[in-house]
Amino acid sequence: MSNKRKLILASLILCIGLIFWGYLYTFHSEHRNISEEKAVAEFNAFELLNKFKQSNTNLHSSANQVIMVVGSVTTIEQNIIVLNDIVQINLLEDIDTSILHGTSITIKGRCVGYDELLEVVKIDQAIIITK
Amino acid sequence: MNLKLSVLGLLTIMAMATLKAQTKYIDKSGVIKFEASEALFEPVKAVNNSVTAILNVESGEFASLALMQGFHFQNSLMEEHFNENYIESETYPKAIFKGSLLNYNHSQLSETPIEVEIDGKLNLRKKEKNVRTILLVQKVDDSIIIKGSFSVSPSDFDIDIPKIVANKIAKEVVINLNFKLVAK
Repeated sequence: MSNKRKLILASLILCIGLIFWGYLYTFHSEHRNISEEKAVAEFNAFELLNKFKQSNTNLHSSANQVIMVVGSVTTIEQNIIVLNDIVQINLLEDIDTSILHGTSITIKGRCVGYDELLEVVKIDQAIIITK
Repeated sequence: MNLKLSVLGLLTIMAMATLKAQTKYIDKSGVIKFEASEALFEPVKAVNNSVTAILNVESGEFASLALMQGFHFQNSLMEEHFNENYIESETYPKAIFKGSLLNYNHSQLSETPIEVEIDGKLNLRKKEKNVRTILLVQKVDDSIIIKGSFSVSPSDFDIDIPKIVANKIAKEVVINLNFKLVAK
């Protein structure tokens, strides 16, 4: 095989590889695994709400970040827990029966943002760390 | 006599308080799906499972809020582009709808869905769009179930679709909603 042919073959393989990588990157990129990401900060429920209420602009550093929140359970519904009536958490799994109203827990999840209709901060893809 | 009167008064106040509390129905985990798919291309659709909806059953006033970061796409890259390039959810984190159910009569509700017209304004990216559509409303046990759909277009909210993907994203975005509201 001549050098020219080898070169053509090598670039062809490279091209196919790139196209395949591009395809995987575009259509099969993995979603974030929030439960395995490290939390960037820890707040109690009131601190978290205040952070959102104080920021005058809509821009907020905590949104879309993984955080830990400590609080007292005030509402339990299927896979939703509300802490101190001000932080609403959608859990990845159903809630086990040992969690009752008034239980103090720590959760880790992704901060979605501030909901001004209910005046709560919403968190999703959360897991319970301690109870 | 006095005691009886005060007990009666107290009961009346309590009854009124209960009545007042029950004028607001809330869903804090409502579902909104949108789809802007074009045939033959990868589906462009997402779902948000933690949408807030509030209905005042006395006045028919209705409000709903969806956080943009709460929309999940099957394709994670699409989700990233939606947040960073199209909606710019860091700057514009939410969509709010405020409006009224027209001629809403709470006592007419039953398990059979009835058609109720809603008129209001959808606010996203500091742009407002009038939305008027027919919803199906029913009462099951103690909750009010509201379902419906309407469509908007990206240009209504100044969302620029680059030419390179323009034929893969529909001009009309269909939005489906499904709420289950309970008395607060």
